[in-house]
Amino acid sequence: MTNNSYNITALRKSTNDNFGFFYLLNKLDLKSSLSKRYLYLQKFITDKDELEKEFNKIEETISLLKTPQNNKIFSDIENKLSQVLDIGGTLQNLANSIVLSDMELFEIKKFAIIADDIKQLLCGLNLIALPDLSAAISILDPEKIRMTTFYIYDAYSAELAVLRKSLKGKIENQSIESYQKITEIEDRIRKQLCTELQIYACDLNTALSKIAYLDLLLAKAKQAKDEHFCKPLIADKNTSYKALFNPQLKDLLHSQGKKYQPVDISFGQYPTLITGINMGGKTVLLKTLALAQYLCQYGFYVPASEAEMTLVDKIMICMEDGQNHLQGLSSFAAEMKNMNIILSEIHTDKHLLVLIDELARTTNPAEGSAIVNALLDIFCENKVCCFITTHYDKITSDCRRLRTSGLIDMDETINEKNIDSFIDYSLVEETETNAPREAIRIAEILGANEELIKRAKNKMKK
Amino acid sequence: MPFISEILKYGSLAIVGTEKNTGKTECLNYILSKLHSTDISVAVTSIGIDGESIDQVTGTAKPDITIFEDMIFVTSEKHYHTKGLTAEILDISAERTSLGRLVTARAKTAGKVLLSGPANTALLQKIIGQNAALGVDITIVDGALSRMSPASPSVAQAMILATGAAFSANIRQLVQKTKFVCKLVSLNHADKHAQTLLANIDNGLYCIDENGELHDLNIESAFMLTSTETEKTKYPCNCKTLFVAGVVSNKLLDFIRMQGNIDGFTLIAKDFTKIFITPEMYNLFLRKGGCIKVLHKTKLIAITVNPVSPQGYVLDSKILQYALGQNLDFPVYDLRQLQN
Repeated sequence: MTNNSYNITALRKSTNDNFGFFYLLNKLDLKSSLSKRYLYLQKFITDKDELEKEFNKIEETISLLKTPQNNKIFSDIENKLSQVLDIGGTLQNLANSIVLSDMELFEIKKFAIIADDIKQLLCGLNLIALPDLSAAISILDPEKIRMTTFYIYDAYSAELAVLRKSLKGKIENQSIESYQKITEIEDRIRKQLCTELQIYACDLNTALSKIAYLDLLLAKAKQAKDEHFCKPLIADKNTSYKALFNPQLKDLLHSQGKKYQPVDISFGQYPTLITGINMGGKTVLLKTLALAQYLCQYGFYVPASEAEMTLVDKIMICMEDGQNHLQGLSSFAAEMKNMNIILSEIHTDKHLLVLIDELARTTNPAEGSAIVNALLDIFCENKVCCFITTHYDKITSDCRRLRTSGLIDMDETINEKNIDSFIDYSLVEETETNAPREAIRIAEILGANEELIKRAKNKMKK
Repeated sequence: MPFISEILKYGSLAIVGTEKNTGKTECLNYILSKLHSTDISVAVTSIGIDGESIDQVTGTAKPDITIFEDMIFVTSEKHYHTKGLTAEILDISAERTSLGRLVTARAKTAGKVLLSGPANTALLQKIIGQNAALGVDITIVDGALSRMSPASPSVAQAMILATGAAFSANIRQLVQKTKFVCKLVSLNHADKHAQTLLANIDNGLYCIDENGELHDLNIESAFMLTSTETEKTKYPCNCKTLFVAGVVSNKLLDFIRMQGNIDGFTLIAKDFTKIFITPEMYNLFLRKGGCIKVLHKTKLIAITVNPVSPQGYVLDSKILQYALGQNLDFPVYDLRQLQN
């Protein structure tokens, strides 16, 4: 059972990612170590305007990335981004009036200079406006040499300069008194610097999160461009995808030299029953619908050639993930528990996307199909956007039905290795209430035990 | 000034000791004080924190290193804070050691620091590379305990070996033991053909047959070979040249010798820092006709001696130096005497 959650970290904890969302996040080409933390803080967005603004930003970035004149600028920006470290903790200390060490001051200076460099690079692009940090930089750069190095410079205090000069060249007979005096002056200067810098703590923090955002934005835009994702249009009632695909599966098939067949699908605020042969792509479809919805609402482009999407408040997924037994529950018990969670949500005002794979498959078909029928009826009455896959017959509920097309143009060359090239994964509207009967044939193609097949065929004849 | 001019030929130098308290730090301090008066840009660091943890156990203080103006040093966050000099921070590493991140800094005044650098050779290599990019002419690495690893040619281009009473309080024994270390350091290069074949192999065991062809034995390490029955069957009984990318141990020599006729057998190790064998086992191996060669050879510049042991034994420095000098083909110095 997967719940959508407040931010990506929470999502990570609640799912084992069998739908490929984290696969894509791991493939993001983030340059700074800062951005990974930032990425995981991204929230599930349900606000249309906020999402549209983000999608426009990605669109803008992609078009800038596609302009050859910008290549140099972007590679310079990326180079700078890769030098940015996460100094959130240090900035927190600064804001809390803690006197910072030389190391922390170094971190701030280095960050501020890099941020300023990025600001200059971004100048003509009109993409993100970073705060002006030149005042903060000049506090830490009294000699105006703009190097990413730091110590309590002689320039901060004439007295310090004189004392240090007096110690030059002496090693063994360093006067403890002058050394203590130097330390005292340094402490005083450090305190003074922190007081002066504190005014800019807020700007520095803004710069830090904007830089993390910039890194993420670039990575998202590059991924969208390279993986041929599209900008989702946000609609009020219906969701509709053209050429929807699952990037993880597509990568896997491509690595095996196979082709991936994308599918078109549209749906609204009602339940849809999905039937089809084994291996017909039902489960992949559910996973891809979940993936696209998550991507969209975490502010990413989606894996389709066109997408019009309605926003939901919650995505609820019920799929066998092999974890139930670890919790001491039978598959059926876990499933029923999940149904309770889903049904408790449908009576709230929340907009849901519910995805259930082979409901009640672990029990007898007679009662199993009754459970499926009953659930579909409840969803129909409550206008819940839901997909349920099944192999059961006699699903009479008055819901919409889609079937994966299944086996086509078979010839004798078909075998377990190439069977996928004989399957049409597209979806067709179904009028029959009976499920397709191809299990034994597919088992035969997959090379199941001959005697088993023979006997099963005989049983079917009876 | 002995061996300083020799040091300047290299971009990196490791100071390693045959034992703790054999005078590595004294040697480093000596070199730094001599380099100070030249216009060479110097960086110093140390390998690891082992020395530190042991020191905390035995309660003996880890000696300070004296750094001079404009020298660069790399030490952990923890020890950076306790430095007794003014320094400009040049970089802070993204990697963490158990004492925190590594700070690279340039001394603005002379003073003392505690060095605790990267704990592994990979990070050490990286730091040495970064120092070179900062314009450093030579990075000097202070070894830890009796670890030879920083002296690997993959890390440092040259080494100085510190030995002394702490290694053995008996001059004859000390000479013999030191001689053995030097013997390993001086192992000959494998032939050109083997060097080309083996240049880019980082792990596993390989056999080179009579026709000069390379065979991967598909054995993970010498340890796996000697400790796992199923791996032993993979070892070809007619093998005449064996390359071990990892550690060469007594057990491995024992195993090879027991497989029968090793007359003309060549064992190739990556470099001397990978070899952990006793003189007895080595001699037995040689007597039966085997030999050990290395892919990469280390340049040993000099041997320094510390005649004082931490338990209080004091050996006669003159006799010790003479005895070592007679037995070794490397220059031997007692730095304390030199300084006096």
